[in-house]
Amino acid sequence: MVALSIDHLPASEEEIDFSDLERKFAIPEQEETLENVIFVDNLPLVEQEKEAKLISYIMKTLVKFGKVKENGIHLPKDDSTGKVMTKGYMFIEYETAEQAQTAIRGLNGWKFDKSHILLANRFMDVEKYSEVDDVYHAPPVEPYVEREHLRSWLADDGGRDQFAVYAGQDLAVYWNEPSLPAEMIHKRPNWTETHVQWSPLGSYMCTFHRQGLAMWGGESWKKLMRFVHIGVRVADFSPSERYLVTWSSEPISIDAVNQYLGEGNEHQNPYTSDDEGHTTCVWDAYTGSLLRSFPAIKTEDGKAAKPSWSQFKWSPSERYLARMTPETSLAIYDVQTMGLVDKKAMKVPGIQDFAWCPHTIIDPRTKVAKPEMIAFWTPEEGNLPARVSLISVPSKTLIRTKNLFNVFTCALHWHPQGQMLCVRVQRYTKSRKSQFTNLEIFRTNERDVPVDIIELKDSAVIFEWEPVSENYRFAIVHSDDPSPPPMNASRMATATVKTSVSFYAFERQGKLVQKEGFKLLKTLSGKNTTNLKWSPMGRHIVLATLRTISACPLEFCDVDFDQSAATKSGDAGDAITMLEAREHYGVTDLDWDPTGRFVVTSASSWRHSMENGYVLWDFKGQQLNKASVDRFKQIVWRPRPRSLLTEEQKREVRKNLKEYSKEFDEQDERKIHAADAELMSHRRRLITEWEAWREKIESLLQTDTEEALSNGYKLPAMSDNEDFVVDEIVEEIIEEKEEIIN
Amino acid sequence: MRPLLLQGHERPLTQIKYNRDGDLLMTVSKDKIANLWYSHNGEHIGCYVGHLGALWTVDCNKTSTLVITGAADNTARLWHAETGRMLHTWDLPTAVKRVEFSHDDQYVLMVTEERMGHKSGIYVFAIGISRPEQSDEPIVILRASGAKPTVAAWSYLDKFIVSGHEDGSLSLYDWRNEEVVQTAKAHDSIITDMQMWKDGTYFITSSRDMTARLFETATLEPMKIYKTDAPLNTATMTPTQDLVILGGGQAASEVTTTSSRQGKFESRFFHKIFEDEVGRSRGHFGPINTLAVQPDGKGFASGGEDGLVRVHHFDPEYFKFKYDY
Repeated sequence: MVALSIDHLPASEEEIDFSDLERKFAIPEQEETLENVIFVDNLPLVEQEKEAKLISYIMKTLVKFGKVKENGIHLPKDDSTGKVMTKGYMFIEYETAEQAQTAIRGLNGWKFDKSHILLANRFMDVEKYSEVDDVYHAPPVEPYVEREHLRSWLADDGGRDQFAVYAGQDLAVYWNEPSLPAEMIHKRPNWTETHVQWSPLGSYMCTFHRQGLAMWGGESWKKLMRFVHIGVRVADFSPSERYLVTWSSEPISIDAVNQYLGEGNEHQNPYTSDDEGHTTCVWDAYTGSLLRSFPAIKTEDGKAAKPSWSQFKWSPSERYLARMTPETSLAIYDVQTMGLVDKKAMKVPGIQDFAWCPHTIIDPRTKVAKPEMIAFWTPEEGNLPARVSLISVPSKTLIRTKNLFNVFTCALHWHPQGQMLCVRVQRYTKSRKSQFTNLEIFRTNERDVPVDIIELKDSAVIFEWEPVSENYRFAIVHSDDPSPPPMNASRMATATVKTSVSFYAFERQGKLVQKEGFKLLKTLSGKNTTNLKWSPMGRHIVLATLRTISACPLEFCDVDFDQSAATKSGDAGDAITMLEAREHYGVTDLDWDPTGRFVVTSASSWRHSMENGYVLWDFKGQQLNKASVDRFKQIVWRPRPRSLLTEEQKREVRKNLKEYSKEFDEQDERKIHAADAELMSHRRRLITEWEAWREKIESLLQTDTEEALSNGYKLPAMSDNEDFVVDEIVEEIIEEKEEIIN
Repeated sequence: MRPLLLQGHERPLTQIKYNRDGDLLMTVSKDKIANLWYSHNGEHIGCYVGHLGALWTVDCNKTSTLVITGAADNTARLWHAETGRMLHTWDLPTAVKRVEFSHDDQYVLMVTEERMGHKSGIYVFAIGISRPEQSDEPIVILRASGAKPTVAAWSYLDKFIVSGHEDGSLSLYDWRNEEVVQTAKAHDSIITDMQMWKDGTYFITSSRDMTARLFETATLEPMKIYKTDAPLNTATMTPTQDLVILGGGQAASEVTTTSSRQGKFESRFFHKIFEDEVGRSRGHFGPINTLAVQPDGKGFASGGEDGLVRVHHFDPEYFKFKYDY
């Protein structure tokens, strides 16, 4: 083309060549989109006469998801067999792509009738997958990267445990040293933003950040995985650490996540448009991939329900994840598909709380795991009594229910080994003026699930099963006044509550015991205990008054201490002995180490700023170590996985305990000696350094003084009588006697 | 031994000091009175009356003939130690926060407050011991370039003046030439006290950053650090046992309620060289504002926000105490 110039102006507009501009601003021809078309398969084959009936039937469902276009249904037919039959699939055209999307979600897997489960797909997908190359191309194999051993800490020679301490901005992991100050392993400033949490078997340490959650572990404390979830507040692992649920109060926004990830990292965004607005995420902890996200539960008036973190609970086998919509339903998801079991949630009007049986029980005869169980309760409603129900999962069949009357509230306490369920029922008296507690204990492992009832005169506020024991011991804190004590702004109780602590155990029918059932062992009254903590190994328990301004007692008890007294009197309660009563000023938290050897009590600056720090005790209540830490927030023991030893091996160890302990005692001794020696040499070094410095300085001073004195500098003379003795005569009248002398 | 409780003040103590012989104890408080006591039995000798504002500081010369006091009435006054007669009054632009006689008793330094447009400064006056007339003209006025000085002390042989500042820094002045020889960042917060070792070669500072530190005077090199869990108001060194004593506690306004243990109102003993805490002495029910050790090392005294002075004489076991090394 000839370039435009003032000399070559075209005569008319037609002559101007606009083709370049047209090309540049051409609107690409709108392709007819098929995004709104879906393809449904697995329909029943029907004759032509019944076609209209089928369509009108399926239409009822289709319109739920959106508006189907006029003539938007196409049902291909086949007459090859002589009869005109439908081909078993259909095409449906919705008004918009979104409607089509919801329809796919709703129709896919919908049970049309007994033998027809529908499959729904996007029409575009059919095209997409038909274009896939028929020849298989193996994906490139990623080079194998060796991961550090996540449980290396268990191989420690001294069998020591680890704990994490979060204070100020610093988070650090330590080895616990019973007789020496804890040995630091790794420390980082600003490692976490809110708090720190271990996974249930101790493999991972989780830190919480604005952007999400990070998981750390291995010997080098490298970051193992991160989970992008803006504003994440809490996390909950499945029992074997395979999965992870995270919750944030902020709804997921893809744009916000992209912003955080930064430009060019959009591919790391785990979310799709389906996740937008959701608040809870379920992740695969191994791969870091998002399995599913859930929206916040809405109450009936459409507002988001008060966020409650106990909505999601894992089954012990990790196969199921259950979520309760308060007062309405219980949804059980199969973790493998992340879909609802039976495609629908269980309607449970009024449901208040539920709990999985925490342990998969193996049938001793068949060696097959029994189905898992969920217990839940519903309150009184009109004429209907309150009710506790036990269902089996996944069949959702009812195993046992029990009606309860005059119920104020219930709490569900499963025995950690899953063989007993205690329902702590808070009941009104007939006059409705006061309350008392019934403990209804379901023996879930026995046929027909018999229930034992313990009726208390007052209210049980705390209930704790002994984690391992043959006779299902438990301890309760009970009090006349079940209402919580007054609290200050940082939720420290400002007054104590008079409480008692009672111990119960299950007694089987035998020569001495006429009737099997739970029996009160002992009551310790006149306490102000607020918390009970059993040792993870059982037998030892600490009664503590936590988060109370005016009192801070810690009482270390042994429930099997005085066996001889118990055998003599035939009363197991006589064995319960308090070993030691201690105090930890301002104590807010108490935790046993995973082996049941140590207890750590701590005073967190989250609650108050007085004497923040932690104290390490042994199980008998002897103080081993005390650490005052400025702005101390949290101390958490690293959990241990379940022991791999069989019962027999454990018995063997117990039998030879003396030999083993000798070895360990020696080790401890050596360590203390080494530490002492080190400290001594360190001190000697300091002293030598100091003395050398003094010598240097004094000689310098000497020269300087001489110089100064020669220049007329004069130090005032010391008073000459530096030490003098003052003789003081003190007369004391010892006796006075008056005598008349003749 | 039970401490002697000197109840001679109605308001918080600001400084206490022993004379060089250790037989006298001077205490000053916000109640405008300076008191003089016998240190061995706590007998009250008399007061120095005349100040119109809260007293901040006191010092006495080596021969225990002159006492100088500094106060919030913008004056420093010189007293005849024995009779309590006022010998001289220096009028300064602002309150006097710290006074100290030089080692040779020829000079006195005064640290003034920064207030009402007046810059703070360290004034040095010459003291005529034999003549009653004192010069009102300072020999030098040292001005800090950065944050205001809060405390100051004479170095060995009175060669330098060391000052501690509000921002936690230290300055070493060649005072005769009005030159800063050295500065150092010592603390994270205000320096509340500074006490020299008897020969002036090193000193201890205390700060609200909850630490006390030891510095070499000539270089301002940090040598030791003593960490506590409470803001510190004062620190001193014992002459015989290689210990330091620290005092402080939550400021009265920050103390909440109930138990006195929350306030951390204890004198804490640390090993000077090992930096380990070795003991505490309870008693005050308010923050400890000032500590002083008897020059012969046989006792120490503490003055608190509670208006009390506690004079301790060490038990025989104290002198037997030997650290393992």
